[in-house]
Amino acid sequence: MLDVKGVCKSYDGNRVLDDITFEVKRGECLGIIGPNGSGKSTLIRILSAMEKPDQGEIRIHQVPIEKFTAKELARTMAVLSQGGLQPYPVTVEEAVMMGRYPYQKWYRQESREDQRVVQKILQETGLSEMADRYLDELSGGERQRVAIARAMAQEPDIMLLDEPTTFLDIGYQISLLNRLKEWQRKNASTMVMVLHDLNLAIQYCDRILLMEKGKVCKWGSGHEVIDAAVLHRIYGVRPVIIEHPQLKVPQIILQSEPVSS
Amino acid sequence: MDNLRKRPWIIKTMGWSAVLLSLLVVMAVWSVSTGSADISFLTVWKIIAGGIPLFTSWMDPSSWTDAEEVIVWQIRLPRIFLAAIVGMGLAVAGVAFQGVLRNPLADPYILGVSSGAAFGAALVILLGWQQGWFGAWTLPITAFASAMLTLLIVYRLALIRHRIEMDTILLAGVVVQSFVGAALSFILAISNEHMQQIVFWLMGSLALSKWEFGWVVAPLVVAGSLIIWFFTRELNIIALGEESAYHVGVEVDRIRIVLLVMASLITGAAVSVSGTIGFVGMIVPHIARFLVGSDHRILLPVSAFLGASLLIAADTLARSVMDPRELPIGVITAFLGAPFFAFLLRRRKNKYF
Repeated sequence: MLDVKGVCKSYDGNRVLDDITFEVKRGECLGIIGPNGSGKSTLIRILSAMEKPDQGEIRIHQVPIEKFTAKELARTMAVLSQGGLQPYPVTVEEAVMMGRYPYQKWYRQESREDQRVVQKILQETGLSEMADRYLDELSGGERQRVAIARAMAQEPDIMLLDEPTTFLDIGYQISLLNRLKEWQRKNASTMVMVLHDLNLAIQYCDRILLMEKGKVCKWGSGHEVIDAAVLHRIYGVRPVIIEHPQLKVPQIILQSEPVSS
Repeated sequence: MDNLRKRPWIIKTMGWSAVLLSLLVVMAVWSVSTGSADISFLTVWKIIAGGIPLFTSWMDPSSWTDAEEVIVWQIRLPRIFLAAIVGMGLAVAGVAFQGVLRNPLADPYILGVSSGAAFGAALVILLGWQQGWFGAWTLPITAFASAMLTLLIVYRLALIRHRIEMDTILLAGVVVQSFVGAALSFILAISNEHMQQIVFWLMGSLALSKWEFGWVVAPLVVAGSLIIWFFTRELNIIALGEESAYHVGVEVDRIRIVLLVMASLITGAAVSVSGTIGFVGMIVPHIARFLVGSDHRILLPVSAFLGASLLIAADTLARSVMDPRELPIGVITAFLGAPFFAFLLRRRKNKYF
């Protein structure tokens, strides 16, 4: 589905990404984790074709990403960037309808199909009752929900999310991730998300890509990636790793004092 | 009908356009009946009807003088026509600049684009090139080119690390505008032009209107406005953020260039016949937003009609308040616009529009 091969990127002689290779299969959810400055955001910018890699290539459905037109790419891949949606006075419904833009010819207005998809998504995301409210009246968390609904309206095969849970309280974080997972399962879609919260990443993602200084440090399941020694090296903290009592996946507990060894 | 109900913006656009078109007609009627030459309201309309082929035979040409006919047909009407076109153009350019730059205070005047256009136009006139390479189009085309060049300089000045900050571009506009304005005054001064000419270019005036001006400028303004109107859906998407617009398939860079070029073209055309009339491009979109909301699909046509009405009104005031002396029209628009600008500056806390 999504193949990344040997991607390198430098800014002013500084290697930000170094030989990044991985793939994401259809229906899989990949979580990208790593400390600040490890190249996660640059990787997302390159995956979403905002920037070109210096070397290497990215293929979607075996087709090199640069072969896609802007609209083709938007039909194949939706991206939720960190910026989110600005509080501009358009209604929630209009904002979600913008997700149908890649399906519209420049001289055509929205079709019946566009209307149907938007109504369905408003319902599924629980936004129906606030469809007529204006974006500038909403809270940050609500705008984030609209942004996700708009991304869903693109009916993409792949969804890229750059720290979708930042600035949200835990209630919003969980409900947002649950909603995304449900959408993913229903549509057999592929998801790639950058997450700061390692525990959420382990719980929600099938596979984890751990980045360190622009390189892939580890790539695999939560069990394979989460390792106290590695995390200590990368993040500079000594975490306690326990097993989640229900999900049976590793979870990390931070501690304020270093463990006496 | 079912389709229309699902697209309320079309109905809203048509409704408001009808209302504002009526306002435009009212303004034009008021304007054509107002002036230093004392011609009665009825006579004015008899003269106008007398000039329209269908009604000519019913009118009695002996009920008015030739001088009165010339005043109405060759002085007042072309002036109203030009005011409408210039007002429409500046308002549309304002909507485009505010939308593309995502800056509620942008307009051709504040960005220095108007001054740039005026500089080019004045240069053509001083050098006597009015009938140059492009015939009657030489003037607006040169004004467009210098408007575009000015915008490029402002844009480059404001572009810091691939980002344009809201306030930086306004400052860059102010800097460039004062420089270009000084250059304009300088060349007019050394060429022994009358003070009146300098005032014309710096404060704007429609006193020199002729039908021919209108026929050259109108196609440019209308075509530019239509092209901008085609991109209003994209402008709505860009309003929610450029990066997120890119991700739904909007070719932000290309559209930005098209819209900036079109807005400069319209500005150049308008300025080449009227000088730099300030603030119209900034106030009108805000009044329109207050009336119809922020959807660019509605905002653009509504601003066009509103701009035309506003400039006709401003021009009528300019030539009647100090009668028989005439004020530069830019004085009227600045009296309205500057306090408005101050108001927006204060109100702009967290809101973009």
